[in-house]
Formats: sequence, C-alpha cells, structure tokens
Amino acid sequence: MTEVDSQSILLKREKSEKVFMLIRRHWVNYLMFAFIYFLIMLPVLISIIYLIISPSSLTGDVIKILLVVLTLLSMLIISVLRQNQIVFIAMLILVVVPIGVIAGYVLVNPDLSIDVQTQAVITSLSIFSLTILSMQLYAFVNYYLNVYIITDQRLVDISQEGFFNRKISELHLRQVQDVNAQVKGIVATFLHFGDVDVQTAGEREDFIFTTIPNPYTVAKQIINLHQAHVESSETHDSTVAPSDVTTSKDGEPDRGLSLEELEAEAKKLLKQRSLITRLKDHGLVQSPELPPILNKPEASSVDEADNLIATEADNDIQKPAIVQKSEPVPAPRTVNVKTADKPAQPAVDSTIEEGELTEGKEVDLK
Amino acid sequence: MFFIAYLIFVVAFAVFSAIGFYHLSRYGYSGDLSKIIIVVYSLISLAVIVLTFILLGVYS
Repeated sequence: MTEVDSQSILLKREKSEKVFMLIRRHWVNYLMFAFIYFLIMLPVLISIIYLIISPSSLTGDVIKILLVVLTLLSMLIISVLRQNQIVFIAMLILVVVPIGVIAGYVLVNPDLSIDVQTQAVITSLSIFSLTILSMQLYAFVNYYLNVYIITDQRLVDISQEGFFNRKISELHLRQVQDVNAQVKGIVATFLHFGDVDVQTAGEREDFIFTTIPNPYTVAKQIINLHQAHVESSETHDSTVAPSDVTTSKDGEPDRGLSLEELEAEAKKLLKQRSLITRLKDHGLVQSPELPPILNKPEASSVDEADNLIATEADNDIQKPAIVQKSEPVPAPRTVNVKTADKPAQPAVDSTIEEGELTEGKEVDLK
Repeated sequence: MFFIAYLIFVVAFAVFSAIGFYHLSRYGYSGDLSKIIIVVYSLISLAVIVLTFILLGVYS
C-alpha cells in the first residue's frame, strides 16, 4: 500500500493525466455475501455458545449430529466457488475432506471416548469458522479490488475475479459515443445504485460500470469529461501547423472540413454579408467586420460568391484544408466521435474534486 | 490425530490468507480499508487457532 503501488494501478499513466473518480461497486454487493456467510455461521455460533454454557449437553448423539451438519454446511459454503475451479478444488480438499473424514471417523467408531469426540467437534468447528473467515476475505478482495477509474483522458475498468484473475481494460474518452445510466428495481432505487453503459465507437464492446453508486452523477461526469476532451481537441487542432495532419478514428488523415462543408460555411457567411451590406446601404451598420475570404468586392451577391467559393475551392483542392491560426475563417472541425445530444457542459464538475488519485477513499459522488 | 489434521489445515489456511493479503497490499490503496481488514482478519484467525489448540490440549 505504498504510494508507488497505488499509482501503479493506472498502468502507463500519462503525464498530466488527472483522476476524477475512483468508484467501487455499491457496498450492497459485498454485504449480500457477508450476510449469507453470517446466516450460515449463525447456527454454528449458537451451538458453540450453548455448549460453552452447558458442557454437559455435549453427548455422543449431539456430537454426531453437529459433525454431520458441519460437513453439509461446509459443502454448501464452497459451492459458491464453483465458478473458480482452482479455489473450489482447493477448498474442497482443505475443508470438506477434513471435516468429512473427522465426522466419518466418529460415526464409524461409536466406542470413542467423549474427550476424543469433543476434540473432533472442536477441530471441525474451528475449521468451519476459519473457512467462513477465509470466504469473507475472498469476497472482500473481489469486491474491494473491483475498481472503476475515470480520468480526464480515459475510463479504466479494473476487474478482480477471484484471486488469480485480474483484468484491466480501458477506454479513451474520444471513443465514447453515448452514455446511459439506469437504475433497476426497488432496492437499487432506494440505495441509489445502478449501471452506467458507455457506448463506444466502432465494433468495440460497450464499457459497462455495473452496480455503482449514483450512476446518474457518474454518467454526467463522463459526458462532461468527454465534452471537455473534445473541446480541447478542437482547440488543439485549430492551432496545429499546416504541415501537421490530424488522424481520425479510422486512422486516415483528417483534413478538417470537406469542400462541401467549407462551401456551406462560406455560403452561410455570405448570406450574413449580404444582409450586412444591405443594412450598411441603409446606414444601419458602419464598417462591418468580415472575414477576408468574403471581403472581396466582386462577391457582391450570393450567386457570385458561389462562383468565388468554387474558385477558392479549386485552388485549395491540392492542399490540406487545415486552416492556419492566423486566419479568421472558422476553425475546421476534427471531432472524431459523435457526442451524446447534450448541451455543452462545463469542463469539470465543480462538486467533484479535480486532481490526483483519490487515495484511500472513494470519491463522494453526491 | 485431530491435532495433526488441524495443523495441516492451519498451514493451508495461512497460504490462502497470504494470497488474499498479497492482493490487498499489492492492489489496495494507501489509507483505505485494506490494512484494517488485514489486521482484523489476522487477529480473529489467531484467536480462533490459539483457542482451538488450547481446547485440544485440554481434552487430550
């Protein structure tokens, strides 16, 4: 649990990358396991307390019944580990077999002294108790090391399944296409947990945050970060040198606006210019500021401007349509993903602390 | 006999616990619940094991 270890969870963490959220599944996921183990342990605990209070009640028949019950319960406990075959087989050998052998030994030899039978019960109870304890540890590790991390550049899903199966997957924010949050059921509604489904561009599988607390807040935060990421990309692309060519999601060079889009933008501006010219003729506007490309005297009408644009386009057809910073023409759009139909949001939700990895505690999403 | 059987189980239990501790200490975060869980788990386990050995000694 050193600083280095905690940072290493973000593999290849990029410089200046900021972590906004560290989310675990809702505590009800762990509590469910803990409660089941507690229910299983409860009759055993009652038996132990009863035997301590009244040792004389520990007769041969009671001992045999206890041993049989412990054997059956131990089989029930490890049955939850069926998915993880290695742990399942290990627990079968280490728990069920010893308790079963002890129970069998006592049942087969009815003439054993009460002390020996008591030893058998003590050993079985102890094995059973420690097994419950180890299962709690197992469930806790599975719950606690399942972490979702949201940074300003990507989403990271660290999935711990058992002791020997750890999977880390990540999704860059530019691949986010849509974000859905859903809360299903009465329990989830009252305890405020649900799933967040992050749909991705391309054929990649969706990125799903399962049973996390406050899914709507998390979804909103992802959208905000995505929006901020897209806006920063646009800013970056508008200042890029003419020789630089951005890369689209398809891996092909992105040359900014296509000729058709450029034409449409120019026509829109020409219509505005035409309107301004008319207003100017009527003395309502003085020295309107127009983009240089439209500020040519020969383009006095929309039709003429169409021809002009066509000429400009022909001139530009041999070079990348990346606009230099000094030109006032609108910057080319190089958005590589479709955003959800959400209005532009502030880059960072002010209620969530921006900065380094939230060491040692979950981020309060409220 | 039960003493030896229990001893073998305790060794296996210790190995299982050590694997869990490794995961918590390797992938946990400084200051989180991992360290507390390791300490509490160890204390309870030790208490159960020691008590068991004492009782086995009493009834032997």
